[in-house]
Amino acid sequence: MKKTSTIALITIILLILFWGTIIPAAAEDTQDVPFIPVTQPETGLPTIEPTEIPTQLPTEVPTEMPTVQPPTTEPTEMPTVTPPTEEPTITIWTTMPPIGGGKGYIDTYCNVDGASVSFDGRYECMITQGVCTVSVSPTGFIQTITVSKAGYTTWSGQLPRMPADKEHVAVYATLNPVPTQTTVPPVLKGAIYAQSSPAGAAIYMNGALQGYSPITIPNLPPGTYSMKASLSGYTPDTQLVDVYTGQTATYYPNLQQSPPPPRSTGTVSVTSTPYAALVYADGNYQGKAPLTVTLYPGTHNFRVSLPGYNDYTTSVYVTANTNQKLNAVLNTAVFGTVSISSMPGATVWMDSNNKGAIPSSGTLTLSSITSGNHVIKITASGYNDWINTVYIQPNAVTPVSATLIPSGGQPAPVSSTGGINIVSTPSGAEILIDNLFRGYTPSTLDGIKAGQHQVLLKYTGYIDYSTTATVNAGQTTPLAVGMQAAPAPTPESAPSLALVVGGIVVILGISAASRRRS
Amino acid sequence: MTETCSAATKLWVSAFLIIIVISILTAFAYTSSNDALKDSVRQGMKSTAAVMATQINASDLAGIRPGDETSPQYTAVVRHLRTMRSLDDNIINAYILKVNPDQTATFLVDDLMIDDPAGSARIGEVSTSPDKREIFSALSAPAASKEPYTTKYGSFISAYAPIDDATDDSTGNTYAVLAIDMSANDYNTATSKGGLILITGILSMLIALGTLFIYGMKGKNGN
Repeated sequence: MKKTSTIALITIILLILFWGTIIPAAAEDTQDVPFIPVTQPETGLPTIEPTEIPTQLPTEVPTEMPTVQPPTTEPTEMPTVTPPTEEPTITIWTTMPPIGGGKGYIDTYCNVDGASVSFDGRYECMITQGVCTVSVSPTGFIQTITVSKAGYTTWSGQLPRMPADKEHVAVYATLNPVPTQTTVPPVLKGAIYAQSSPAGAAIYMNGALQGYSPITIPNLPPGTYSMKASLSGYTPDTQLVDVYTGQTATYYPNLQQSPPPPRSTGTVSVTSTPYAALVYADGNYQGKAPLTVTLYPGTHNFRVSLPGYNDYTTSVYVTANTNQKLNAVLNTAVFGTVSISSMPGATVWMDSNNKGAIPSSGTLTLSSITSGNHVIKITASGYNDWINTVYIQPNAVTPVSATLIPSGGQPAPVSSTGGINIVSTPSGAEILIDNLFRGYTPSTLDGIKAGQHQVLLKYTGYIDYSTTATVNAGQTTPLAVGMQAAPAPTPESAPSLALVVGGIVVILGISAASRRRS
Repeated sequence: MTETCSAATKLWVSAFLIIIVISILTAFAYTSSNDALKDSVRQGMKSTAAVMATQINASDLAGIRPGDETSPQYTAVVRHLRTMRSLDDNIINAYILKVNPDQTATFLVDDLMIDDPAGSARIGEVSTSPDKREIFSALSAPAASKEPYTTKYGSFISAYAPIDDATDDSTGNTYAVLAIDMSANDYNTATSKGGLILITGILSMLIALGTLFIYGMKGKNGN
């Protein structure tokens, strides 16, 4: 009896061990092998037959079609269809092994049709009309259910429990659309903000006008930009400005007031009666009337003359940027007589015209001379020229006594006159001929003695221009001068500084030595 | 004995101070003088370039394309440049650059194209000058090289000035940049005039030291 009991106990233990080994092994096989082939029409009887038995031309249509459906999204593993060798053999794989008895169902509900349902990573079905039902063996083992669809977040959850026979276990999966990422394009541009004081300056970037300050120049690729600000009455400012991605660089031009502009001018329009009288402004011949003379502001002396008429003289105050009219009505000349007493043989010139020589009597009388001022010059070899302006009285004899002074050296050649036409850049420079002020450029200076003359042009802020001009009698010598701006003052002379310091050191040394001696 | 040693020490210290002070001042004066000369030369070049740029009509440049080196339009500008350049012997090259949006500069006109085509930059050739920032700055105002540089054409220091896009009714826009070159040798010669300063400094030092030691020796003999 005891022996029988022992045998029975051993048998029970072996059975327990047997079932305890077989079932977990089947479960493990389910996990490792994705699809267990169904080798015969499902009869509802559980089977633990070999997992793969090809059926020879099944005569019955399976009551349950393979659950493998054409996935819309690529399944991780495709069902394997063994190609027929000699005779067609159809192998249909199902999802769950027919382990144990009965058939349960897992109903996967989802809010998105077309989502793929996978059990432990294996594709099972697609959600249709909100649900997907998969039959499984109640004795099977499914751990994780995954529902996914492109454009939605993947849902994954644990199966609460395996369904019992003919039982439905519902799983609810909610897919949420993948949040649309608002792709903010990377900021690749920068900008420049330009502001000037005073405002309104023209802002140029890389040599092109952008507008007037204050201004923001947007959409600039990062880099360096050549900026310029220009405002009337101020010196332009230029800077290189670096622009960085996503930043607004600032450009604050430093506008300094410009130095006073060049002297402005005014004009005088001169007409004459009769027509074509000669016009002189400040002694300089300007041309024949009518004409317009450009002059700097201030008082200017005009003389309009015409042979046979008395000179018309007047002063005109010229105002900047204005035009004035001057109509010179010339009166018929009143004549006078001049009696010139000088050294016999001396030559007499009146207004640059040769009037003859002093006769042996020592007096030359010139009649029918228009009344007014005349320049009389008397020259003689070995004597200094005598030049003077003489007013010849009308209807009278004006005596002139000219005493010639010996020059003491070689007799000076008698020279006639010419002119110099001087223009300069900038205009308005002072003209000094032989150190005598003669006006401002541009100007034509007549009555200059033939020969060489020292011409000096001066203009504030420019280097004095000096040259020697040769004047030929009866000709006008052109002279065009481009004046150079005066350089900035150079630093104080370094040698003198070094000497001064050296001297100080010497004195200190001497002082120290003397003190030590004392 | 102690007093004699003390006097000698003071003498040496004084001499040392003299050397230090005069050396520093001389070096400072030398450097300042050279810097001033360099600034002066560069300023003069900028002024010259600016004036020359005003004489170039942008409309004469507008139609120039690569390969036009023998076209009448191009040669007319070349002659104009050459005439202006010849007014100053220190200017050895005058040319016009077009500054591109990517800040590169390409040659537009080279005044030596007629006289030395092989040694001249062709239209569209990219400038290899390191003065990129200066050329870029010249879109706004005249600029000059900071230091001499060397390219395949030689060693120069250059000045650049904007060419206005319109002679009349100008809006201030820049069409191109006119450049002039001065030989680097000429530039160095013109800006290295500090020899007198060095001589003066050395003489000052010698005089100071001599005087110091003479008085020091007298003091010693007196004692």
